[in-house]
Amino acid sequence: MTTVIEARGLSKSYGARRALDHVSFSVNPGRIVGLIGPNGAGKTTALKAVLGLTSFEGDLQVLGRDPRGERDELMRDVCFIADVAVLPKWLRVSQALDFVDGVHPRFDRSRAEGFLDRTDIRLNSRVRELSKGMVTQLHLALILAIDARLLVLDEPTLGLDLLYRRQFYDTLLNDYFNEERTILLTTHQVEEIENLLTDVLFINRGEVVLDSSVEAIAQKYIQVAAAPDQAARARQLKPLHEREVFGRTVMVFEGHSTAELAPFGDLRTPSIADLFVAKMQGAAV
Amino acid sequence: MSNTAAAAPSAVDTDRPRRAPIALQRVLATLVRREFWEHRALWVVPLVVCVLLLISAALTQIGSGGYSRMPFGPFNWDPRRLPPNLADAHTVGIALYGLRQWMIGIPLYIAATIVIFFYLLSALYDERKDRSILFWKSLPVSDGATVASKLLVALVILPLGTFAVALVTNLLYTLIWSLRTSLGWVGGPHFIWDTLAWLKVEGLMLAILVLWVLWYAPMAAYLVLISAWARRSVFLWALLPPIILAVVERVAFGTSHLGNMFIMRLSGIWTALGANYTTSAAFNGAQLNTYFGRVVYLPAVFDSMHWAELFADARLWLGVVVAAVFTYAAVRLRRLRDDT
Repeated sequence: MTTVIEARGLSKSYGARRALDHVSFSVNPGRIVGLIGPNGAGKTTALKAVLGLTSFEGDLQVLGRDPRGERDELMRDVCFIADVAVLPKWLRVSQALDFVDGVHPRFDRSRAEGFLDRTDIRLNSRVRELSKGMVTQLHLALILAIDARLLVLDEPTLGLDLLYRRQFYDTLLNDYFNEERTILLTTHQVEEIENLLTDVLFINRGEVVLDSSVEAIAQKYIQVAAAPDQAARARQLKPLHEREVFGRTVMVFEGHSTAELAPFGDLRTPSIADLFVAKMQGAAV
Repeated sequence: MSNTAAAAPSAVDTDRPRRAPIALQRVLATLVRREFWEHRALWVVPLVVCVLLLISAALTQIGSGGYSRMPFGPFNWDPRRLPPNLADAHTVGIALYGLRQWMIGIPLYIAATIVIFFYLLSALYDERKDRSILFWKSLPVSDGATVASKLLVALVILPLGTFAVALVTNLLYTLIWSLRTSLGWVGGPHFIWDTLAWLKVEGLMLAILVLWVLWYAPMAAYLVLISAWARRSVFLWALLPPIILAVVERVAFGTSHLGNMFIMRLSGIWTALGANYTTSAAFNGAQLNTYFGRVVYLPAVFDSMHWAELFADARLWLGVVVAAVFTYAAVRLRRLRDDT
């Protein structure tokens, strides 16, 4: 199967600051990839490059196209939700439907109306009259009615309350995702989407720090909650990161077997959030 | 046009049902509708001016005191000073009707020009300010089609729409006015309807409108370019480059070619083309002598205008070429633009 995104040596500078520094990664169909990194790590720049919204150096193919010159063709197969409030305030809900229907060959209007029926959004409302959560619902309804192959989400639930966030991701999984579709998303709320992701891509200071499937993480990374008397010995195996939790030292190891680590304490697979902290703080040391 | 999404899921993506891209005309029509949703002034302002004109038709007393209060022409009450070749009342009536037809168009076109100016300045600027560019660019619409839709609205749809509104306003105005005169509520000049004369005056206005649009096309494209380029103070950025260029030329070379060129372009087609051609002759030759002064007989102007010369003017088409260059630059710029 062809890859959905193939990036090689992606670089982009804003003045002296390098937002992306020879970043390479690939995304396969049917995956849900979390692009995770601290603020200013280059996540949004990477997404914008994929969407043809910014210039860059290097080689990038999205669904076999170069987003720099073929954005409009590409957008027949790619959908995008940036953080809330990119729908213009003056737009009416019915106009949003009319517009997407008038320009998008893969838009199914009745499907979008079906989604909107389940919400409190009225067709003659303007975006400025809707709450933040409703605007996101509206955008999601538009996107879900498009038969796209790649969905790019940039902090889609920023500023939404828990109910809307949960509903957003549930809808995404139940009504959108299937084995031919790919989702690439960034978010700060890693904990909430842990169970959703099939792959993670950690990015820090414009570089890829980790590129792995979630299954591979379980094989490669182990978290040990070491009792105080075991901590010093465990430390000799060079953990990626450690922190104190309730008197125990929680360490994250890379590339050690369970047999090696079992004597030191309770083992588990680190959560993506834990691994993220380990990778980022490890990198900072 | 909408299809059932994911009707036939298939494992290999090349098997996906291919859907033909939406025809360009339909995309453009949708984009144009979008412009009227966002910029309501585009259709509200001409309609408001139309309503105001019709109210004035119903309420004003212009001419009710007889010819003495005619708004145009000097008065000549001294019979000894009357010109020898007075036009007959019927012809004068037709001439007056044509002039009113012309006058009704003027406030509509002025209003439309102001609306278009601000519309073009915000065309590619507001979408970055409110970040909606991220939404528009997430849809399969090319930057070329987007820019084209803005210029289509400014240079074709709004001018022709204003022409249509002016035409209808004039007919309604005529209806209201003749109702008032037939009821004896107003007296005054007799406006005489003549279908051929009416058509000629409409034709004259339409031809001049097309000339104006072609003449101002480079300025419209320039405003779109600025709206794609400026990160803030778009109004200031629109004014500064020509002023700076003219001042720099003045200081560096002591000449004012650029400044004169900008002023000529701004001052419109009458000053630029009219003086050198037979346009003023056409207007002067169509004067009627009446006992309240000279009146232009516009239907005759239509006949005696040298349209071919006007439309063949090199400056007109040079401007169109410049407009095309600015438009191309605006498309390129928008391709690079995001919400920053």
